[in-house]
Amino acid sequence: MRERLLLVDDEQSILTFCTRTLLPYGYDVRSALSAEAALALLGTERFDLLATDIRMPGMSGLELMRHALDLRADMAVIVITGMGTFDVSVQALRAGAHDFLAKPFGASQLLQAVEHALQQARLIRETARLRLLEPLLALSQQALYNRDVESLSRSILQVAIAQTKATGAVLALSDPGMTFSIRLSAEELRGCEQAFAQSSGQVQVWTPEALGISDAERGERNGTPRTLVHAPLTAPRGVVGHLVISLARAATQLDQSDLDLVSALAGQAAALLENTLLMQRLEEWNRTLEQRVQQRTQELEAAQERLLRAERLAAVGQFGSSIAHELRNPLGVISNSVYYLNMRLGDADEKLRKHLDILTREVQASNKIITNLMSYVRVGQLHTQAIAPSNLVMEVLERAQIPAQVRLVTDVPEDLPLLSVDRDKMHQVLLNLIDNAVQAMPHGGALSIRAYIEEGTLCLAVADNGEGIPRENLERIFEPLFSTKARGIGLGLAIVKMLVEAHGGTIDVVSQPGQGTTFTLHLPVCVRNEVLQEMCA
Amino acid sequence: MTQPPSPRHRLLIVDDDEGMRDTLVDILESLSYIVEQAAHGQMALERLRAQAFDLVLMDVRMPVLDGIETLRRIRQLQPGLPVILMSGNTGEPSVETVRQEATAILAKPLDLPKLMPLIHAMLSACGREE
Amino acid sequence: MSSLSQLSAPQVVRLVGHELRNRLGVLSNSVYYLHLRLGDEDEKLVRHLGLISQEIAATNRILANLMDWIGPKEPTFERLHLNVLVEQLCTRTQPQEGLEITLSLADDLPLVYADVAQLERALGNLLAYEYALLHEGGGLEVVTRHEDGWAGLYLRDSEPCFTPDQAAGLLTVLPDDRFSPVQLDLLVAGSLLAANRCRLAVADSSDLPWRFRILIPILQQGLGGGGVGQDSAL
Repeated sequence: MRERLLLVDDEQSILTFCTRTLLPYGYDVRSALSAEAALALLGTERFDLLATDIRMPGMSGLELMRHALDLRADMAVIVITGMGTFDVSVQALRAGAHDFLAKPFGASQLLQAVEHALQQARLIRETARLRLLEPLLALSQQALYNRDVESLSRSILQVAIAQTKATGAVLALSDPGMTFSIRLSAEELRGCEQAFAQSSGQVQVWTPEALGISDAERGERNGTPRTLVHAPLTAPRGVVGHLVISLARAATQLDQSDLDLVSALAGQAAALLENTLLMQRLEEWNRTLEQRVQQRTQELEAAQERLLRAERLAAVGQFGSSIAHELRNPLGVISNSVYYLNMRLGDADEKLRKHLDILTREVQASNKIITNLMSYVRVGQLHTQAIAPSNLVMEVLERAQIPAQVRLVTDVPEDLPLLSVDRDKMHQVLLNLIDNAVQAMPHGGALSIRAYIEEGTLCLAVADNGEGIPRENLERIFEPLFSTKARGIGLGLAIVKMLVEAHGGTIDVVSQPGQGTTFTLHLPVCVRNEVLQEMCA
Repeated sequence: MTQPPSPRHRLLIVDDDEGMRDTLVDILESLSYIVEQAAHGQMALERLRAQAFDLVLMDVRMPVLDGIETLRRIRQLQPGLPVILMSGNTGEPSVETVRQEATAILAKPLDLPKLMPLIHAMLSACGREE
Repeated sequence: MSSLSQLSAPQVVRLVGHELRNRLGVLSNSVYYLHLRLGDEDEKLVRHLGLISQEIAATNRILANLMDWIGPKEPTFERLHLNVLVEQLCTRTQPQEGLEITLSLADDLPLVYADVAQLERALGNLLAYEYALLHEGGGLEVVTRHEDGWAGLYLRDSEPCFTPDQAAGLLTVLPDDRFSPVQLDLLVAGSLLAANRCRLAVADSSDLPWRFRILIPILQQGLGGGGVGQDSAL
């Protein structure tokens, strides 16, 4: 941009001389014959340098200088002095002039003075901007202690207004959606917010007209020009907000440094706010993390609490077969080693053979204990009572859910011998088998329950004519982890088997794919009550 | 494996489990100890009254007279007699209360490599080594 | 043993478990005797005797865990130096090759309040879990720190952290679960710690710089030494 110079002197010849000297050097030169004329020009156009005679009729150059500096504080000013006004030139320098030219002066002096003054003005602008960093730095420091986006935003606004000598400003944040403003009218605010959406990522100058703010709305500010400078707040993740400064100046009176200032403020504000937001989020997140850990800890304690109670035993029961398996592994190894020892030492002396026998005996005893322990643990304690098979089946059928499309056939004579069983557990067994049968007949079929005596044991058969079970699955159907569709009421068939065996009975299954499946329980008619005494015998 | 020097010490094994008694007796005898056995506390006291013993190895849980009570009575008769209790850690508070009275308490399952040197040490410490 | 059926299930399990232990004890004695008699000359015989001993120990361990899990006995609270316990535990339990253990124990850790044997057992089990997790080598760090009112013990390792599902499943038992002795270790550790009024947390995301966190109650000033203490702050 070409620097624009304004020359003021009541002598035309001086103006002509200066103009002719400066034009070839790429400056834009305007001139005025009086301070008043100069003022009028200053009011409508932007100048980078003012060179004015001190003594003029009407307003003095000094006064003009003061007005000019009011309008634009970083304008370069040269005062032209003549004989008898040296002391005034000192005044002028103190008042903000960068240099003075003493008449008569030559072309090179003029050029030098102009260059020098412009350079000085530039430096002052830089310094001013750097000095701006001080409050920004102070702001940053505040931001470290000030974890709060709101108060930080207000501080930013205040600094921005002070530094740009604005009459008002607005800071809008997109995330979280907050808007802070100082001394802006509601219409201006509205106008700004609408403009944000269409704003580019650059610094922009808006006039009230462009924002659709009518004259009437600007009523109180009648006559005073107004310009709004907008700068986006840009963070690595994109535009995070907007800063708008309201200046009591016409748009033409603004220059690059004004825009740069607003831009710098916006940039700094963006950085500070992002940081604060991040800190806020981090703290909140730490809090929730701690909460989560506490919650998890509480859940664990609750889980431990639950386990401490009787449910623990049920849990053990539920993977009892796994425990038994783990316990049997070592016993298997021991058994093998004992076998080997027997082979090698079979014809050793009496004492040695005695101990080999002890080994064998104790391994067997251990195995038996494990088997019984695990059965017991799996099924819990049996509370047995005498019950007639027909009553048992009747009770079970009352609880069972048999859909309409399944036809029920029962054949349980009432004169069958009594069973000595744990009622609840038997219910579970039969309900489970019935459920399996029903699930095997999704399109309907026949469910039959039969009871009869065979070789002294009571047989209970639950049969369906559904899809059947393939041979390879039949072998594994009572394994704890073997999954079939029919889970029944949460008891696997493995537990059904355990329960039956805990009563001293057995269970078997016969099936033909496509024809049906029959589960048969064989229960002793009289069951030992004191199951435990058997365990360690 | 340390062998005690002769003359031989006399040990008493007290346990209601026959297998336990049998095996411990055989082990200690093969180490040249003289070993007697008792199935419960009552029998143990009778044996102790009948003969002089150098050390008692006793289970805590036994019928008729358990290890705790037996120990108390032994202390009344022979305060200096080394007594090693074998505890199954069933959580009985009474085991804690006789902590001072027993010469040593070993947890079951027995750590035999530890037991043997312990027995040897006790026998030497009590001046019963000749 | 009269009227066994009147006993509660945990009591039954414990009694029967003890009986099993006795059988194993006799087995163990016989093996010892045979070794005494046969000496070390015959390699194969010695090997088999050794095998039997090993497997007896393994069975005992599982049994111990099982019974501890079903119902640990009432803890006897005592004051103890947590750092010392940790150091002893780490030197005693030999990890596998390729596993490097670092101890970062706080100097200012106050005395803690717990049943020594049970705490040792619980921590030992957690260590065993870590060893199993790092069976292919890696780094394990054990950290103690004075937290507010607690002594914090952290286990951090070089393996990927648990997913939320894994963490949740660690201390719960679902029907028909397969489990390994090491998992039972964890359950036992949990129940022992709970009995000792400690808190066990399992990290369920990589946000947490540890896998396990145990909080152990700190001995309060003014509490009498020994015996069962007040738990006002616990």
